[in-house]
This record gives sequence, C-alpha cells and structure tokens, in this order.
Amino acid sequence: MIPGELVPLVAVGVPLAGTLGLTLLPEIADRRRNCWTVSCSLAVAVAVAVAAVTVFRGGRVEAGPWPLVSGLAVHLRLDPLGALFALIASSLWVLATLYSTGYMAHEDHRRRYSVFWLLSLGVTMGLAFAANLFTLYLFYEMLTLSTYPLVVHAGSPEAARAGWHYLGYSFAGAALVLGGFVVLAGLLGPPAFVAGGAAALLPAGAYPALRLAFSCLALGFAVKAAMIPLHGWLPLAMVAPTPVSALLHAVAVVKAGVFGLLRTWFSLFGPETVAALGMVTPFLTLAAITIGLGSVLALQQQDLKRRLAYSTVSQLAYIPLGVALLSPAGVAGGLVHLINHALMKITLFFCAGIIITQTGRTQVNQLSGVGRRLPLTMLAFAVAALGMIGVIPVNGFVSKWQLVVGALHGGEPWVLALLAASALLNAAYYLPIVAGAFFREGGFDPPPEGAQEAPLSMLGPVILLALACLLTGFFPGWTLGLVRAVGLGL
Amino acid sequence: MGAILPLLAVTGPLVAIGLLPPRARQAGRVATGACGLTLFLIVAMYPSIARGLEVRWSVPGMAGTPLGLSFGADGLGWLVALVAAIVWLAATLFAVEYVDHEAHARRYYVFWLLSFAGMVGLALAGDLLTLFLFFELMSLSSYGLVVHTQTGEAHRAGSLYLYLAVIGGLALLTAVGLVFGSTGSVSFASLATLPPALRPAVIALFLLGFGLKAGIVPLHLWLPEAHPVAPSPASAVLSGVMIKAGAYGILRVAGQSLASPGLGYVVIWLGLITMAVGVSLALLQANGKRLLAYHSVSQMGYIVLGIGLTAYLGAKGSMGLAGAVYHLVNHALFKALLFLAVGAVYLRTRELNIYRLGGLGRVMPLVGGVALIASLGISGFPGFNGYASKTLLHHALEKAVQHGGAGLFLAERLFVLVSAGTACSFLKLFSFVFLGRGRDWTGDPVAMEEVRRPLGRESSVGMGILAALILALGLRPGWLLERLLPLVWRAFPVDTAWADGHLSHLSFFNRTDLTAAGICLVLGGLLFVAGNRTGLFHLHLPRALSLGWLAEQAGMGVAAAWNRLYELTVQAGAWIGRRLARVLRQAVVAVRRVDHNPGDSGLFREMTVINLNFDVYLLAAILALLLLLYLPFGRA
Repeated sequence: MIPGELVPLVAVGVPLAGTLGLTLLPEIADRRRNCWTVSCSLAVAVAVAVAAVTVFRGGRVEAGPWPLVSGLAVHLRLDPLGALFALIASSLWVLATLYSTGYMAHEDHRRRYSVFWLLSLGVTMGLAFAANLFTLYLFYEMLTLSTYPLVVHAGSPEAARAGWHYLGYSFAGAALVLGGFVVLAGLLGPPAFVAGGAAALLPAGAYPALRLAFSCLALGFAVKAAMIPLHGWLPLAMVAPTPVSALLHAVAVVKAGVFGLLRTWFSLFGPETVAALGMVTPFLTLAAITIGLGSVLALQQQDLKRRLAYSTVSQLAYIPLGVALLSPAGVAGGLVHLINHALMKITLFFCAGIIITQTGRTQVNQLSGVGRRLPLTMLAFAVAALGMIGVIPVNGFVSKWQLVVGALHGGEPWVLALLAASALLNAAYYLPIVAGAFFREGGFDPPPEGAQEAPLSMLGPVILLALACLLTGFFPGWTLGLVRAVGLGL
Repeated sequence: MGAILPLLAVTGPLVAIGLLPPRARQAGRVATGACGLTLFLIVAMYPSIARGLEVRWSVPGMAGTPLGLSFGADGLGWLVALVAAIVWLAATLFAVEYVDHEAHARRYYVFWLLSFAGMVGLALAGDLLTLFLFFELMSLSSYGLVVHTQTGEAHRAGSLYLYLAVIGGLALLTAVGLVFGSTGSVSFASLATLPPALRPAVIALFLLGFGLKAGIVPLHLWLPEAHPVAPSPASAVLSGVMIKAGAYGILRVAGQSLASPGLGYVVIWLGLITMAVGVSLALLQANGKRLLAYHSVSQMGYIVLGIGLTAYLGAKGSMGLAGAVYHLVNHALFKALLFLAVGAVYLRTRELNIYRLGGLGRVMPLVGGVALIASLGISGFPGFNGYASKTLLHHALEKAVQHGGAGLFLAERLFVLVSAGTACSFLKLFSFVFLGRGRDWTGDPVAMEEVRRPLGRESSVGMGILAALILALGLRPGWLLERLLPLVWRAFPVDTAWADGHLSHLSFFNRTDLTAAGICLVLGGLLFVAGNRTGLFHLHLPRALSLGWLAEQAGMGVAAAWNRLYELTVQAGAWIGRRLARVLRQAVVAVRRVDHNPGDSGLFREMTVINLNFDVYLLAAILALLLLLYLPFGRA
C-alpha cells in the first residue's frame, strides 16, 4: 500500500515530472512518446484509484500543507467529493490519451501537444486534491494556462481568436474567484474545505458579505462550467483538436468549473447556509436558463462539434440544477450526472473526431449515410445520443430519473417541464444525426478494400466508453452507490 | 418455472437478433422461428392465467431505486401479448417473401424483432416503469420500420413519427416520475394512492402519451402518414398491433379509476369524434394503405368509445369493457390481414392507387378471398368477427342512452353512421381492387406475368392464419366471451358476477342485433352508390381544414419568430459590443494622453487593452449579473 502522503504527490507530480521526460524525446519519436504519456496517465489513474479506495474506506490521503506566505498554504488532501472528480478525470484521461495517439498521428507539433496534455492532467489532479480554496484557485489559474496551448494548437487565425476569448473569459472567472476568496478570507481566515461548509458557523450579521463572496465564487466557477451567459468561450474553443475538445471541453475543464461550484456549495458554504443566504433561487434560475437556452442554441448549430459544445453547455447545468434542488435525490442526480455526462459526452466527441478524421466532414447535414461507412462508430454515437435524451437503458436516464424525483421532493415541479423540454430538444438535435446516418443515402458506401473504421487506438476507447454508458445504465447501482458514498447529506 | 416465462418470451426475439443471417429469406425464417417460440411461451402461460394467478417475475432493482424490471401477466396483458404474437407470426411469415424484394433485409428484421420484444414486454410488464421501458423500445425501434424504404416520403413521415414518439415517451416518463415521486412506488396499484392534486396531471400525461400511440383525434396526425409508408408487413403490425399499445396503456392505468361517469362521458365523445374523423377521411383516400390507416384511426375510436362506456356505466360497465377488448382483438386480426392483402397486391402490381387497379379477384383468388373475409370482418357483417364486438359496443351505448346522458342518443346515431361509412369504404376498396373489368395488362406481358405469379407458401399461410381466426371468431362469437374475456374483467372494478351472468352466454344471432347490423350494411351500400355517382370519393378538402397543415403552419411560424428574435439579439449584442469597444478605446486614448505617452516603446504599444481583444461584452455581462444577483439579496 502506498502511504497516504505519497499518493497526492504521485497524482499531481508524475504528470508534471513526465513533461520533463517528454521534452527529452525528439519530435519524431512518436512511439516512445506515446508510451510515455499513456504510462504516465495510467500511473495517475492507478494512484487515484488507490487513493479513492482509501478515502471511501475512511482513510486519509494528504500531503502538505506547505506554507507559502503567512496563512496561505498549498495543501493537498483527498475527500470523497474530490475522489469522485479525480476518479472520473483520471480514468477518462487514460482513454483520451490512447485516443489522441491515434488522432494526433497526422497533426504537427505532437511533442508540444503531449507536454501540455500531461501538464493539464497534473493540474486537474491538483484541483481535485486541493484542500483549501487557495490551492484550488492556484490550480484553477494554472489549468487555463496549461490548456491554452492545446486550444490554439492549430495555429490558425481562428484558433488565435478562440484562444484570446478563452483566456479572457477564464482570467475574468479566476479574478472573480480571487475576489470571492479575498472576501471569505477576510471573514474567516484562509478558507479550507470542510464537509458541511466552512462558512456555516458565521453569524447572520456576516450574510451580506457572504452573499458577495458566494456570488463571486459561483460566477467565477460558472465561467469554466460554461453557464449562460458566461459560455461564449466554449463553442469557439471547438477549433482545438478533437481529443482536446472531448476531454477538456466535455470532461476535465468544464467539470473543473462544476467541481468548483460543488466545492463552493458543499465545502465552503453548506446547503443550509446557501439557502439562508437566499442564493438558491438565483442559482437554480441560472441553471434552468442554461439548460433551456443551451439546448435551443445547440439546435441551431450546423457544425457537429459546435452542436456538441452547446449540448455540453446545456447538459452541464443539470449538475448545479440537481444540487440546487436541495433534496437528496436531486443531489444524487446532479452528482451521478457528473459521471454519466462525462461518459456520454466524451463518447460523442470521440465519435465526432473519428467522423472528421475518417471522412473529413464536419457539418451535420453532410452526415447522411455515414453509418454505412462507420457502423461501429455511429452505433456508439447512437448509444450516447440516446443517453443524452434520457432513453432507457442508457445511463442518462438514471440522472434524469433522479432529477425528476429530486425536483418533486424538493418542491420544484416546474423542473419536470424543463427536463422534458430539454429532452425533447436533445432529441431534436441528436436524432436527425443518428437517423440520417443509418437511414439515408449519402455516398458513404464502404470502399472495396474494406478499410473504413478508424484504427483501434481510436475505435477501442469509443467502444469501451459506449459499453460503459450502457453498463452504468443497466446497473445504476454502481454509480449511485459511488455517489452515495460521497455523502453530502444523501 | 412458470414465473420465468414472460422473461423468456421477451428475450427470445432479442436473442434472435444476434442470430440473424444476412440473406433476406433465411433472416425471415429465423424471425419466424423467434415469433413462433414467443407465441408458444405465451400460450404456455395460459394454465396459470386461467387459474387467476399472476405470472410474476422481477429483476430486483437497486435499494432505494425502482430501476428493476418486473413482469406480471394478468388476463388483459396476456391477451394483448397473445394477439400480438399471433399477428406478428402471421406478418413475419408474409414478410419472408415481401422483404426479399426490399433492400437492407437484415436491418429490417433487427427493428422488426426489437419492436416485437417491446410489444410483448409492455403487455407483460408488471409495473409502470417496465411498461414505459418496453413502450419506448417498441416506439423507437418501429421508427426503423417506418423509414425502411428510405424514400423522401418515408423520411418525412418518419421524422414526424419520431418526434411525436419522443414527446409521447416524455409524457409517459414524466407521469411515471410523478407517480414515483409522490408515492414512492411504480407499481400499478400505486396509481390508486396518488394525491388528488396530482391526479389530473398524471391522467392527462398518460392520456397524451398513450393517446399519441393510439391515434386519438387530434393526436392522430402522424398515423396516416407513418403507417402506409412502411413495408406492408410492418404496416400490418404497426396498424394491427402496436397501435393497441396505446389502448392497452390507457386501460392499464385507468383500470383502477374506471368508474367515473364524468371522465367517461368525455372519453365517449373523444372516441366518437375519432371514429367519425377517421372514417370520413378514409372515404376520400385513393391510396389503399392510407385508406386502411385512416380506418385504424376510426377503429381505435371504437375501442376508446368502449373504454369511455366502461367508465360511464360504472359497475355495469363490463359490457363496454368487453366490447373494447373484443374489438381490440378483432381489429388486430382484420386490419393486419387487410394490410397484408394490399401488400400482396402491391408486391405483384407495384400499385397502391385503388382506382388504377381492378379485376384482380380472378388473377389472385387467394388474396381476393382473404381480403373479402377481412373486409366483411371490419364492416361488421354477421358471421365475421367484427360483428360481435360492434354489437357489444352498440349494446353498451344503448345502455348508456337509457342511463340518460345528455346528447347520447346522438352518439348512438353517429355510431350507426360510422359503421355504415366503414362498410361503404370497404365495399369501395374491395370492389375497386378485386372486382370489375380491371386494368388492361395486355400491353405489358412482363407485368402480366408478374401479376399472375402465385404468392409463396409462407405468405399464403400467414394470411390464412389470420383469415381462419376471423372466421372462427365470427362463427363462434361467444367463445372469446366465455373463455378469455372473464379473465380480463376480473382485473377491473366492475360487477364481475353480473358480467359473468349476462355476457358469457350472450346470443349474438338474434333478430334485433341482426337488424341493427343489416341497417348499417344497407346504409353503407347506399352511401357507396351515392358516392360513386356524385364524385364524393374524389373530394379534396381545403387545406385550411386539415389539422396537419395548420400545425405545420404554426410550427413554421414559431420557428420563424425564434429565428428573428435570435438574429435581433445577435445584432443588438454586436451593436452594444461595438459601442462599448469605442468608448473603451476613447478612454484608453484619454488615459494615454494623461499618462506620459508611452507610445514610443514598442512593448507598451502592443500591450493596450484593445490588443488584448478583451471581451467587453463579457465584462459587462459579469458586472450586470453580479448586480442582478447581489442587489435584491443585499438586505441583511
């Protein structure tokens, strides 16, 4: 058994150190570099799994604190909520790394790409392991910096524009987080994450200041979580290579924003305090607007990746929505959607990447009959798309069901109408792709030599993920059990 | 052992999907085997059902979640599953030859078996969630059947079908969610313990979800589009069986609350309007399959009418219930057979317009014979199966009139008129296709050869099964009432003793009932003559009268309005952005003037706020949001 102090260092340190190893390899040494990145991410996944098991069994996984200046310290400690996020991110990172070895084989600057890819992994793990707001803020800023080169990887003017927007939005969000941090620190010293909320003990006289702190933190994290109207960077960032879009803009970066929201909600303020502050309704409203408007905007996109991006905007807001319902079933729905959405959306993006590399088509209306050429890919796409709509037995249904029950228990029955409308819009923008791929002719007949599907390094992760979507749908007890183990008053 | 039968019946077709060979005919035979096996398993459940036992089998769900499967067949569910399996078997036999002429045969059978599993599963479902799950499986996978031919028309119909199927599914899911959220259980019994405040919403959602599938007016719009474009065997199961899932669902969820005269009165008229609208539009159709599809709407109206009568009559409502369930069985048999017969005609002639056919009775005597049997069945001719169920419904309606509902005597007149319209319409279909001088094929010997080629053995057997059942039920109309229907009404809050006493020994061949049926048929004949003389059948209704056209216009209006709004928002945003940028630029210039003018240093020139391309729009939004969120809650 690895001692508890070592695990955080492995999870955060191995990728950071791994980047040094990468810089030693020449640009053309693709095989060695790929082996190196895959093994680094695998090592992180194993370390996180070990840590998560320890944490869920009640053990301690902690490193630090290392004081920087008076009162401010970098402190890594895993708690169940962090373990959930770390588990999702690190395990999907392995698959995404595999996938990107296949995807990037024909792109330039592969070494630069790999370096920042690993760097982002380390930073994301840092986010998950952060034990206080200061550490979280540090890694939140670093995440922007380490993912920026991945976003602008193509180097085109369009990518540069997207990059500026990405930086602008992210720094503005981080500035808000910093503002919230300062206000909170003024009230109770440098805030550490405590189950039940560090701010829960403050007297009612501090509420105006707490409201300001909560608004700043919530909006600051909402930038990365792409809640409308702070979502503008996400669709633009779709110029990035598809594995980046898949991992960062469907899973890691946006989920880091959501994770920040969850931290704010559960570990800094506590649901009772948030309710006492009167911030639940605005939060719920923001989430509801994001869900509805995100779906409508997704419907208007003709570019496949942009459509997926807006779908992410809409679907991510299910998580804060569930949390803000203030009922155990709602919180469970939100958290389980953290897992389910990650699985489904990364599948969809991986499929989109295969479509783009194998056929060169990027527009939704060019995809008629693509199912003849890429049957397995489009089958996986269909599974994930059905999950997005919430059709049994894909895992999306589990989250939706929990949210429905949570909305009823939380006394917000209008959420049912919202969920139904969103599911309908999801159907309207996903089903034509799926139906067209299999039931329309589009000049996609397989070439005679039969090489049609993507190489195994890309297809394998897609199939694994689609199976995972189905399995977590068939056996919702696994994910729901994990979410229950996180606690948070469930 | 018996308890696992429902699960086997459902998984059988799913397993068969994995065994489908690529060649069309072999795939058809594998599918036939799967349907036959399922039929056998369902028949094997009969001993337990007859003893009044529920065959119950559950997959345990997670603790605290209802996400498990539960199968439990009672009389009604079992009967629906039995009918589904019989019709599916017959249609699969027919499909072996028919689908051989289509592309993508294996894909066809995949969706064929998926929707079969869904249909059987929903009939044998033991709780609401399982019912919903299999309903969705059937609904979504039959999309594959609707668009199978991949023509533009099929895609248009398919899209409409798909969206309405999703809407219906969502309505059902929301209803099930409401039930679970408020009672903590998804069993059928939990419907009875719903809080009164939620009850109307839940009933409305269930009615929407199941009504869409059943094609109750005005939710019928998709049906005459989607059913005819599918390949004929698929039309047969779509129109014959899957549509019944809606009626079955309504019966299932309404079962506990089926004694409510107010709701019953509404449902009676809903049924009658559906009957009337369906039949009047059917009379105007030239396409044989569309004609049949409109009749499916109309015939579903009969079943809905029966459900309404059950609710209206309360404890004595078993007459209406028996009529509804009996008609459900009958319609499955004759509508499927009619679609197969029209399909057989299409297979040989490649023609669906009935006005361009004729005289086929001599060339295709077998098809003509079964079409005649089915037409007499649907018209309610004594000695054929439709007669019994229509008579039961008519009796129940008369009883309701005696009860004295306002305007119900009009309902009885309307019932007779619709029955006459049905008879007229099938007189038209049969005579234009099979009788008369017919089309001149002499100019085209190849086509003539094709038309003369006899149907395959499997197709004939498939049609023969259905025709034999129609005749058997028609000649012994009391058999179903004695043997199977008592199993059904046991599950409902009706006076069982009264039902057993009155219904089980009902004589159908008496003067009153025969006269009533005779009046309908004679009226139908007169209508046919009149229609032929006046050109009524070729009437084209103005578009503004068509619900579908109106809905389309409304949808296009909403979409246009949204797009306009979206454009305006984007333009307004861009305008605000430009103005803000200009202000900012001026501010920077002003600051620079005040400052010591660092313009000479290249580094500083690059690092202006403008070159950062900072999103002022974003900044403004954040500030505004902060104000918005903070100000109202700033009070201590």
